[in-house]
Amino acid sequence: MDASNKFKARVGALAVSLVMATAIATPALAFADGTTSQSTDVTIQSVTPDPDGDNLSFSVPTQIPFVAKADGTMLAPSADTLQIQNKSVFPIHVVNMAVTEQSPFKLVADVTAGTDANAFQFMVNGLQAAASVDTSANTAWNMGYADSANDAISLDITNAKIARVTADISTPQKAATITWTVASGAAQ
Amino acid sequence: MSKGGELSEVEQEDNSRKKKWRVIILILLLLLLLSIGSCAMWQFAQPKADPGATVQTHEGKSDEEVIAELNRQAEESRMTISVSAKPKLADGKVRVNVSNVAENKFSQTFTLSQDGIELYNSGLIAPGEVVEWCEAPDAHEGSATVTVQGCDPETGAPSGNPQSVSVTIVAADLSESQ
Repeated sequence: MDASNKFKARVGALAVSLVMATAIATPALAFADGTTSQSTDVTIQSVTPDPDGDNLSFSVPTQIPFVAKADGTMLAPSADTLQIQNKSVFPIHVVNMAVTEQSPFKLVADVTAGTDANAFQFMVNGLQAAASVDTSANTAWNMGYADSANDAISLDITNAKIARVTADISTPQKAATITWTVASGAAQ
Repeated sequence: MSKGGELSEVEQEDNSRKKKWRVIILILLLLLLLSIGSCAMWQFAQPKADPGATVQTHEGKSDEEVIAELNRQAEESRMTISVSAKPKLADGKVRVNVSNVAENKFSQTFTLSQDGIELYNSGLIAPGEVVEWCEAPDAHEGSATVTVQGCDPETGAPSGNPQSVSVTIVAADLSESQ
């Protein structure tokens, strides 16, 4: 990092925070699996809510706080903590990740490549954070039905950095909103 | 006292001095009360920070200690969202079935939007409560969005970022068919 990337920091550790919102898409598939006996047709259908209501339910941290260090790297919560957990009776999967920057912070792919003030970057599960990231075809974002062996996915945040800070981050500042879009079923 | 009950000059001066002191003390007391009152108002007027949204300075703390604190904050903000994936539409009402599960730490509010227009805005939903149907006379079949906002259970103030749920509104009779 060159000399121009100096921080206004008064102390060794500063703070930013990202907050997160989540979206779910409607069930795109209605599963039908039929088995037959000699005289009886049996069909099983999931996803479509019955009159009692099969809600699409999940739990998620609504905030992801970061701490910026003096060297420009950022610390984030661990992947084991940042989990989206399916609480539905049917599988779900994340179809999209959208990160919306909050002024004066600027989301970039590489903080060392540009000149934007308050530039930051990070990756989630190996994917670069961006305005819209399509995960609909990525099976790594699948979650099985509640209480199954794979009913949760961890959000592993890596390569988090910030540079050319002009904002006063001696008190925590919101840098972005992360929106997850979740749909029923598994990624195809 | 001098003859006739009148105060002597010395006594008058003494009374006058005492009066002055009383006034001074009274003024000081008033100023003190005003200061206390102002401090109290200032404290009350300070906006309450989102719980777990921020981390202060960490001088002298190791990375592990910082991450442990961040983990705590993230976990504190965890919330369960539960809404009908296919809300039914009947007679100008939509069955959103927004359920604020009992184990949530936050109250919730939600809005129902369609085509970029807000159709319904709820009041506070305490943990353990469910809003099954909502009035939405302008709703139609198709894509819509239910946005759930966590709220401080004591003040009702928004806490954390809202969670948006994209749903598909269906006619009640079609969704019940097999």
